Amino acid sequence: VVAVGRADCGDDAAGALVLEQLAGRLPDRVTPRAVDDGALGILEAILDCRGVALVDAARTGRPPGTILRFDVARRPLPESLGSASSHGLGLADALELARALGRLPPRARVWAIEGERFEAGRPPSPAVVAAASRVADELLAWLEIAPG
Amino acid sequence: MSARRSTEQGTTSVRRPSARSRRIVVEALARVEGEGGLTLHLRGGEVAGVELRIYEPPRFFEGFLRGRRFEECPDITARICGICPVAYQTSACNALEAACGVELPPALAALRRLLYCGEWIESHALHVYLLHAPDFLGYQSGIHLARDHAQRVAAGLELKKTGNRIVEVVGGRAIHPVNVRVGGFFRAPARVELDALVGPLRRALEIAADTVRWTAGFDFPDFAMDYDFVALARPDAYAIERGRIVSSSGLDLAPEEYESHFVEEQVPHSNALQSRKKDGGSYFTGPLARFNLGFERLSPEARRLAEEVGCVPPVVNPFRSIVVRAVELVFACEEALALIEGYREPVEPAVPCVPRAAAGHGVSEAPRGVLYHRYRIDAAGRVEEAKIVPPTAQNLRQIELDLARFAAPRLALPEERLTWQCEQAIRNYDPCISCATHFLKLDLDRG
Repeated sequence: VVAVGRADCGDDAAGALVLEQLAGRLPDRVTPRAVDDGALGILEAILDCRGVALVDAARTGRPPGTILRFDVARRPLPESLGSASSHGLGLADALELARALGRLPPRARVWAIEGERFEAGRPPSPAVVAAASRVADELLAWLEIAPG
Repeated sequence: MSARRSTEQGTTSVRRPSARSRRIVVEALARVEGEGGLTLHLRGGEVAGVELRIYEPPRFFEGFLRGRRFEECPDITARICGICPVAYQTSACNALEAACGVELPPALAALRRLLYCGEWIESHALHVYLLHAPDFLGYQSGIHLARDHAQRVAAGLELKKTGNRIVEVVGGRAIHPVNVRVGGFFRAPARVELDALVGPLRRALEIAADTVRWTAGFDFPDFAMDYDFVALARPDAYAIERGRIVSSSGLDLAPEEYESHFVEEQVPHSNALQSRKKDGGSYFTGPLARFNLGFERLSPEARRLAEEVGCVPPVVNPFRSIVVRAVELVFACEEALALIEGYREPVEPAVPCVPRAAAGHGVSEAPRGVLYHRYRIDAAGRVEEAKIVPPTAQNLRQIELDLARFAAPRLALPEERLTWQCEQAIRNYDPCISCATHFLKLDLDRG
């Protein structure tokens, strides 16, 4: 389980919030990882895994807390969710690079939670906190772990 | 993620005010760090002007360093860049240690150099494989390159990962290291931790050597300029973490003499300052400058490989900088191996630095070139003034001059092709726009 984003930048903490919700609920076969250093950090975290669940914040203009789900093992992330990070490389690029290298996990799913504020030092918005809890439950179901 | 569209190739628009004049605008440059664009002004079939527009917002680091404790500067300035934080930490430490009148003992200086080797490997591997090589092989991006050359790109990523490991072990984590302090480190790594890097480094050295041969086989546009190269130099080693400032026009300066010879100025079209020599001329800093001015001090294998592929000074075609970066990858791997072999755990991880009212100047060779810091601190260790001149700001004027000369004979090319080639010319410098927009003089007209 890979949480993408900065825990100290408002709703960019969406992934970190999901990891918090999952603390103590994941079996040994599942490794939680937090990545905040762009595409290559994500790439390193996902290469050659048997399956990967990625959680990131999104900014698409939808209402805050909206949850978007993508089966990225089957198709790339939509272009409208392009990346915003160093050297223009982000989550979508990491996934496509892994696919190009033939090392994208056969099960790969992205949960994107719509955020409304991303300023450094701000807490996440209530809508994102609530959505993170729902994503954690969905993710456990996807991993075939009974929600505790 | 955001709704902002990531462009693999920069978006372009052409405005045609008249048959004799036109303007080519690259709205967003791709495969560079940060946000910038390019405007070419054409009049009567000639290039009348080039504007490298850096619209990434100014970042005011020098302003908010004022009043902070001197010990905080390395960690605060590291945040300027996620690609070259070690460079910021090192130049800051060099400057503040000079202000405190402290010199690092050899063991700690070697550890700082090892950390910096890790950053060079990370940064150069990223640029060579994912940002610049696609240009030469006709691919839109590193991802497109990987689809046809998976094994090679995987090797490049392995190389980068080895750089990350060094920074992690010595610096505490791969991005924005936390183990660096004025006077040395918070904790010195154990011998056994560094020994674990030897195997990956030997493999990385093989990959780097292969990278030299691979990049040397690319087709390079026919282009050369009469550059004034500026780099750091040391009599005993290829300069990385410290040195004197030398140039191909004969300068040989101590760090504290930097501002007597170079100035920064604001230009209307950019949020980044541009540096120039005080006599008005542009200059070129970065791998090509280091290579041309320090070739004899490269490690033996790096020199041998460079000679094998016919890459010897003076290299004045900036497109060949990709080969030079590959040579520096070989050097950084060899140097890291030598530093690990010679490592003796220091008795203390840092030397005490007692502040005094003084100014300190520090330089180091960031992957992109000379990074200059100056601080004035008071007797209590508070920062009264800070100045930071990143390499990209020093190269911006030269990049514009390159583009004017490079584009002139290529104006008949289809727009898309011309844009591609101009972007490639910019990427010769591996510009880091986030670093360059560190300061903007703000004038408020209140009527």
